[in-house]
Amino acid sequence: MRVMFLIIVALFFSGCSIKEVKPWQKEILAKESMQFSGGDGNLRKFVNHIYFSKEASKGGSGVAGGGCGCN
Amino acid sequence: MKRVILYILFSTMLFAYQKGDSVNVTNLGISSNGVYLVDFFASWCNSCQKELPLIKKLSAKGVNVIGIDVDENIDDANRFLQDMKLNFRVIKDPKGDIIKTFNPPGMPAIYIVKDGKVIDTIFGAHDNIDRYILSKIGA
Amino acid sequence: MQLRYSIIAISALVSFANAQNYVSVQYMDYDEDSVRTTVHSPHLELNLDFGADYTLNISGVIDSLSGASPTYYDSSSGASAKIPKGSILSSDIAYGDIPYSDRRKDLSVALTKRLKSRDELSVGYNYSTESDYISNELSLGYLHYLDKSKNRSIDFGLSYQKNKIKIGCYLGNSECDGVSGASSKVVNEYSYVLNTQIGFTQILDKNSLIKASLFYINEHGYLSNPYMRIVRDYNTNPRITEERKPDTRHSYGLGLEYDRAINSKFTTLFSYRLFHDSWDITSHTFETQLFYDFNSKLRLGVNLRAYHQSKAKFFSGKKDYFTNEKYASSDRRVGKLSSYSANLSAEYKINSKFSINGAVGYYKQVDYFHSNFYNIGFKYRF
Repeated sequence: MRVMFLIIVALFFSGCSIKEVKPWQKEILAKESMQFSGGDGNLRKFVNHIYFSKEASKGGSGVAGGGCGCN
Repeated sequence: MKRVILYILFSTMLFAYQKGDSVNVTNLGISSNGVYLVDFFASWCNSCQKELPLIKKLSAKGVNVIGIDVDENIDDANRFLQDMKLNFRVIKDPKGDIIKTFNPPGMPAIYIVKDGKVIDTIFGAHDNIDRYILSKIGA
Repeated sequence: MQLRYSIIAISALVSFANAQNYVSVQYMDYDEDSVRTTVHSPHLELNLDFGADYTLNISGVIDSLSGASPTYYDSSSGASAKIPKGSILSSDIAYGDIPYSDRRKDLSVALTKRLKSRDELSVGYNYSTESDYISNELSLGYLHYLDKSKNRSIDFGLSYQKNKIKIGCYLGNSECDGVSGASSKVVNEYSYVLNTQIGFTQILDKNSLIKASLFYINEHGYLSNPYMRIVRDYNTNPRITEERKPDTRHSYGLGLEYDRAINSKFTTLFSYRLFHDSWDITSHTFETQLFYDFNSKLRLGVNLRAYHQSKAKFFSGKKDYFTNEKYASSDRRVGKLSSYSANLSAEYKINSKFSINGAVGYYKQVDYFHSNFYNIGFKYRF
């Protein structure tokens, strides 16, 4: 697992070339589909909560949201 | 030679119209006399959408407005312009040729141009933009 | 707080504003086959901009839950979470579904202030209540742009949650020991959660960006589930008792995300999360999201997720395992498990203001259960 993690991190940071993007060039980056929620945060919360209530892990997608007696 | 290359690189990187700069008015098809508002916007820019109805009000009051739609996709631009029903002239700039020369640091970007010179700039969302502009142009 | 599932945001981002006025109405439904758990969840969200600098987001949800959750119980007295007194016949110890039902109400309010630099400061409050659980949470978020073109940013999140757990003494839990007339009483326990996160976002080019985040969560107080049971001394003096998880938990991890638009229609997003805690649970989560814009009105989405976790050091699913261990749990959510899920979503923009959306999903926890869920709703922008 440790090797797998290192490979993922290495892949993540390798080949990342950065080009300056001007404010008027952000049409695609501004699209709702450039977010996991696709502009529908409620569905994302709903699905994440299924995972949260059925698995032991938490964190990594923000700090707010409130408590729940489901875990 | 190195100095020349460095100068070109440096000036290209930093150049942006600021207060006091002369604007290439022929590029925009405007007169070198009088006050003009040059407003850069795009369909995907929420703040631009909010400001445009207020810019329309200014146009209705007689302020010369030149809109520059910087949507890369012409269909998006056409749809947006149809929805917004703007009452001023709009130039489509899908390749960014015009906005590149202004090089604003944010969107929406508004330049107040008087007698061919930039007298003020507004970048990003601004409350009561119509009143603010009127106070600047003294109308 | 039943042995079960509930729905509402726990993992929402601190609500950085998106400069839009809208109201969103959603209905979500969850159905789990093996334990017959169902959740019906109507949800209302309102996002309001006040000028260029403030955004207020309010959301509320009511979950209606019913079903059953698995644990050990005394079959001679029926399927109940009540702890039998003394030892019982090992043949009477069963593992199965204990029925429950509950209603959860949740309200979240978040205010975002955009500063002159266009950095964003958010404060949030969340309140949720169930028949046996009350939670209050305060959160704070700060988004700071690191460059003039806003291509690079860093964000900080901090939240503090206080939870009140109401334990009905009819369950026979040890918290009620010494309480006079216990069976009709309720004893309150508390848990506290401090959640911190730091994130970094870098735009790579016109079509792609990466995000990385580190998080740390500190939980302390009553972290056990008052309905969960274990079996002790099965081979000598079999007893069903309450589970006992440690009173503290330190969790930390790393999140990585890469988002890329292949072209103007097709977008791919990938994420990975590494999680580890002081209970010895380590997990890996891989997720990918694909979006396809058929045209300016219709967008389809596919989401795939794979998850694997190792077990907590105090977990055992075997009923002849525990004797006198201080910490002991048979709650399979802290056991070794793998899960897979997939969902399909669609959004259709009827016009520039009004859109409808829907989603269907499937979740499978290997060796345990699977579930289906769907969501329908609309969003009105104004």
